[in-house]
Amino acid sequence: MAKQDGQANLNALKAQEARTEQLVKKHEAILDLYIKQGKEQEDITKKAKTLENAYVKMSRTQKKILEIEESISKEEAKQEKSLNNQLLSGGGLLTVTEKMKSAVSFISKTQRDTANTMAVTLNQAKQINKEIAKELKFGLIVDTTREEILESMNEMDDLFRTSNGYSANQAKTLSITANKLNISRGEAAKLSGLMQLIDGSSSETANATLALGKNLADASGVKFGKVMKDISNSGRDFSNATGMSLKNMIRTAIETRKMGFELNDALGLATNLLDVESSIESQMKFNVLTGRQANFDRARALVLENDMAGALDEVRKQVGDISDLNILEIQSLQQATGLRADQLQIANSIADNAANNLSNTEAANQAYAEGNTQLAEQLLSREHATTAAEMMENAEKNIKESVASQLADQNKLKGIMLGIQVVQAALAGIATVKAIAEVTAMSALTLGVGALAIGAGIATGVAAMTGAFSSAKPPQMNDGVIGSDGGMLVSGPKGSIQLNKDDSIIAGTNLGGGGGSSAIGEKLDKMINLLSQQRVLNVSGTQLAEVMDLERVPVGMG
Amino acid sequence: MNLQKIVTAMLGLFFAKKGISSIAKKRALRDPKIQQRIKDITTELEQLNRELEQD
Repeated sequence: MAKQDGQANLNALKAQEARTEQLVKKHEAILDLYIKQGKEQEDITKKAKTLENAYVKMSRTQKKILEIEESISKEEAKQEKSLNNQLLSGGGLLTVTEKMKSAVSFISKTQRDTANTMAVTLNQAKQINKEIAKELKFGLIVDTTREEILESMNEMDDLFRTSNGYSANQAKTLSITANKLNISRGEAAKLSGLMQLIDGSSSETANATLALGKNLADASGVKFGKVMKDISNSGRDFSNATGMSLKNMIRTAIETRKMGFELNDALGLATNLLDVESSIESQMKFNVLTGRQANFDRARALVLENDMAGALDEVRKQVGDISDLNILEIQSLQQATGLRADQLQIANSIADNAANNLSNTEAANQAYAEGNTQLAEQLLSREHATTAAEMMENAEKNIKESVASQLADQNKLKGIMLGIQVVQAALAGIATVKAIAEVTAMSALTLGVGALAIGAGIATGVAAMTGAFSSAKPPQMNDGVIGSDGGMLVSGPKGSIQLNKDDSIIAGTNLGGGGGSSAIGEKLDKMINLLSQQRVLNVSGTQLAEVMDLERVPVGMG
Repeated sequence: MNLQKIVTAMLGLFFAKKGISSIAKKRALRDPKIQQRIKDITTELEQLNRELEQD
């Protein structure tokens, strides 16, 4: 509104001025009529007086109008200069374009990254990013990131062989769980996926199982990360051989690790014990050699019940201390159980030093067996998915990516980038004249959207003109004469010199035969000296003219 | 190509100049002193017009 006031006031003034002219003309016409009609002198004088008065006042206001127009022009010129300076300095404009460029780059990079990670097209990546952005809202923006979710999604893609087997929401929950339990996202995704595929668990149950498994591992004094790795390495073979569910396998992996074994050892024991004939033969051989009464029947039964941890413990107990066994005795033990001597020694050592809180382990075991989701939620809520610094970083990243996912239309972005390139290229052109680094307080934003176009216009213009003129080469001439043509100005490092208007310039290479100006002078002096000895010059017998009366070449010539 | 660049540049400069002039004029007219002077002259003209209409 305020912007229009100035113009409105000026329009009002112009309207009044036009009205005055109209009224004056009317009075002039009336006076003319009075005279023609032969009105009384008094009326004519009165009308003439009115007009005279109007003329005086009009002249006064017209002077004022001229003055005000002059003031407006001056102020306009001042404003124009200021605007030009601000725009040409480029700081504000450059800052704006830089920000836009970096935003567009960011959006494109995010989209490309998703496309590459998930092996999908840019349009599909845009959709995935949108879905992830939808999931990462409110408090969750600090717990995980798009990249982490993609990692989980990618792993699940491999497992499910399709993208339809899971949702962005599941991948997000899994990613946060992995962060909270500080386990590898890839392994967590693999395990969760297998629980869903093999055990038929829901993703929520699989998630809870991971949390409860971590709880059981903690209570058992083993690292859950190591358990995960063990399952990742041997889980598939173990599952194929035993037909055990993923959930039970996690428990087995924890229990065997607690004893110093891994899933692979349990699988080796099971294979050996179930090769009944050979196993019994080796068992007898071991007993004969050592004089012990080891019996693996119960262990064999436990294997058949899929209680691998129980079987391992039973074998360890039956074998007892092995530190004094000889090589033959150890070989027979290995043949019977499939376990190496060092493993059994470690298992014995752990069992001797075990000071576990049994009640804690039992409670954790029971919660795991029951799949206590409430406890799982509590356990997860107690854990932090990220550190304070990661939290800030994630929040910033997720907010940016969330906005980016909404703007990721490559066609529009390409247009924006093209525009930015033009403006920036132009600004780069004038950067040599104006210090762009000096970001002025004024920004293009204060001038409104139009300023961007104006700035772009100026910048493009100046840059193109600069380029055009700087690339234009002056005309070339080899040896010749430049005519006077009414005066000449010679420019050089020492400034410009105005030549006599009737002078011509003779240009040539090695005009005096080389040697510089002093050499030419010397030659001319020598010639003058020779010629001065005779008044008339003869060339091949032809008399040319009288020799000039010179003694030396004038200073500055030659 | 160079000619095209120059034409584009000239057009750019032309429109830029027009845009800047327009903004500069608007800013000049928003100057409070100028506004007051315009209003004063308008009042004087209004007064003169009233007088002329009465006569």
